[in-house]
Amino acid sequence: MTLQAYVLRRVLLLVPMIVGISLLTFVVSHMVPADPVSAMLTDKARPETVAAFREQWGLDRPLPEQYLRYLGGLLRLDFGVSIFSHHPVADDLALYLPATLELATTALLVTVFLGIPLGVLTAVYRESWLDRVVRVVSLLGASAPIFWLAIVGLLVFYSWLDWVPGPGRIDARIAAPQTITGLYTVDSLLTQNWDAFGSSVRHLILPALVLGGNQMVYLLRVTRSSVLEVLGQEYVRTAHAKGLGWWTVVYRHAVPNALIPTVAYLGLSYGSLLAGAVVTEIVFAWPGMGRYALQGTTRLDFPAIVGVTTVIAVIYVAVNLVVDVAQSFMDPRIRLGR
Amino acid sequence: MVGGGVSLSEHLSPRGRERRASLASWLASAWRFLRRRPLALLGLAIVVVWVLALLGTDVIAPYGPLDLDTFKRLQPPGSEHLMGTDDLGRDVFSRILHGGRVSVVAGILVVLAASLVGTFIGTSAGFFGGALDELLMRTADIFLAFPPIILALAITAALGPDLHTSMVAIMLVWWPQYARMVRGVVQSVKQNEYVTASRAIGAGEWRIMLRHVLPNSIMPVFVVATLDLGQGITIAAVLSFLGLGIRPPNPDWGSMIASGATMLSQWWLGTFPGLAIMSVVLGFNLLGDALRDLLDPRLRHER
Repeated sequence: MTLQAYVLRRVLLLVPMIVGISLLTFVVSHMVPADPVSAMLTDKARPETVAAFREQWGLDRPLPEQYLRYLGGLLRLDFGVSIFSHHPVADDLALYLPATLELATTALLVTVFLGIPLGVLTAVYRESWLDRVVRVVSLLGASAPIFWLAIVGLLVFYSWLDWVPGPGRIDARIAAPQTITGLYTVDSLLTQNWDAFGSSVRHLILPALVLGGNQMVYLLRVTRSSVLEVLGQEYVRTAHAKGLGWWTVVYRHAVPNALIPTVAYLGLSYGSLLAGAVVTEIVFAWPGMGRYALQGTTRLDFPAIVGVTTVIAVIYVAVNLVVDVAQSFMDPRIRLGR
Repeated sequence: MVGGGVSLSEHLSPRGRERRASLASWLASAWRFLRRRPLALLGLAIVVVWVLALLGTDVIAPYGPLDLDTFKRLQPPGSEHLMGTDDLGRDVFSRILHGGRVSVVAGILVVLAASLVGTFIGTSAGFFGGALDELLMRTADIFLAFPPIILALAITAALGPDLHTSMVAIMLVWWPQYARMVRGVVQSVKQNEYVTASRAIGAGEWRIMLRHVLPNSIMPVFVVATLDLGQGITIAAVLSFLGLGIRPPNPDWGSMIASGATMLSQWWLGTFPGLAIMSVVLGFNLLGDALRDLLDPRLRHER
């Protein structure tokens, strides 16, 4: 299979996937004991009011019709109107999604730029003090829940040491930069608003380190075991035998081959980062999708919950598509079918 | 590298079990295995200490989980209150012990339920194949398209947030991982000659599946489920941290950390329940790693 054919096939596979995602979110939001009618209206609401409410939200239609309407809405990026904020969910998401993406993507950079070098180093210098320290730290890190790490991080670096600013995306006294992409760091750079840039970067450091550091532990393990495996291969021995220097062997021969599983793991990582961002946002009062989803959850605001869930699932699936394609580019055996 | 382990895994494998290794020799080889692994021993010790502490909570905890002492609010850790008191004057140490019963049991139950459901679905899909396989696995794929916590959040909302629905929600998002793994194992196990042989002597399909294929496919589930126990406790704590778990005033670790998050200057409120989670999860992780090495040498990898 050529690369183009492989990409085409993977993109076409997105269609049933997205239908599946929409079906599951529909089932979750419609066939449930929690009745949005009773959540919105008091017990004393007159039957006419209830009927009018059901009609207004299309809850009186047969389920298949509700699903088709719902799917049609999704395809037009119409998630309905949030029951509580009374804004279209899509508008709310456009407001909150960039904050989450900014956090998750910065965390991904932390994960990649710490996890991969450390994974390679600990594999090359196996059983060195570095390897031992990293192993102990990653064992502890993998055991600590992320929301707790976030709180401890705030406690140590904000309350005690005062190295980083407290919760939030930007200092209260600094106005948010003009919205272009919705990412504060990018927008403030584009508008050359240096105060806003400095403040938003400082606010981003701790949450991104907590979130990325937590994920790094897993990426590091995958990278380390993959590099170890490759270092035992014949072609590495051949490269040694023909007189190449140690580091040349490592970065020219071992690492490029060892990174294939690491790249595959990155897709999974981004999903965990998005999910972790949701939890981290709560601790850092980060105005993103996580806080929006949690507010929706406690208020039974199903259009909001479904909107967040769908958008995150679609991003996750899309990232994995990119990862698959990157992987098949790096390793032709994958697209040739093993 | 693992002499003792291999012999023990032979004892535990179905073929080895027929040798009827005596309990004493089983324990002896288990001890030989553990002695070479200080980390596994540490994990075992942590888990044993926690199990004893949670079983003996009523004896160990100096106060009741809901005992208020309004004159001793927000006391830092000291001799009277080992881990301090919270904003209502309740003893944090006692609440951690009582809350642990909720958090640890919830985590274990969730993993148990997810692995049972996943094993059943995965075995059916792998064994019968065809349209059933396609239906079950495509359904699993859809679940796997969501980051677990996000979907669990949505399902918990739909079911009405409390401790039990959040557990059901976690189970619902978790079974596909087990189903997918078990299906793979079952597909390779059913190629074995003993399956053909029992079919030749006229055994029914269900009998073959339950008596021959399932017992030979179950070991990886056991290993992964042990490795997942820590994660189960963590995810249950996440939902409870988000306010979707147990209802106040009853404690569990996630909700205790949540209250600590709002009172940063009272560092002991959030720190100790977090350390509790971390130590339990560490214990289960270390134990799970050892169990994987012990029971399934094929899954063993360089660490």
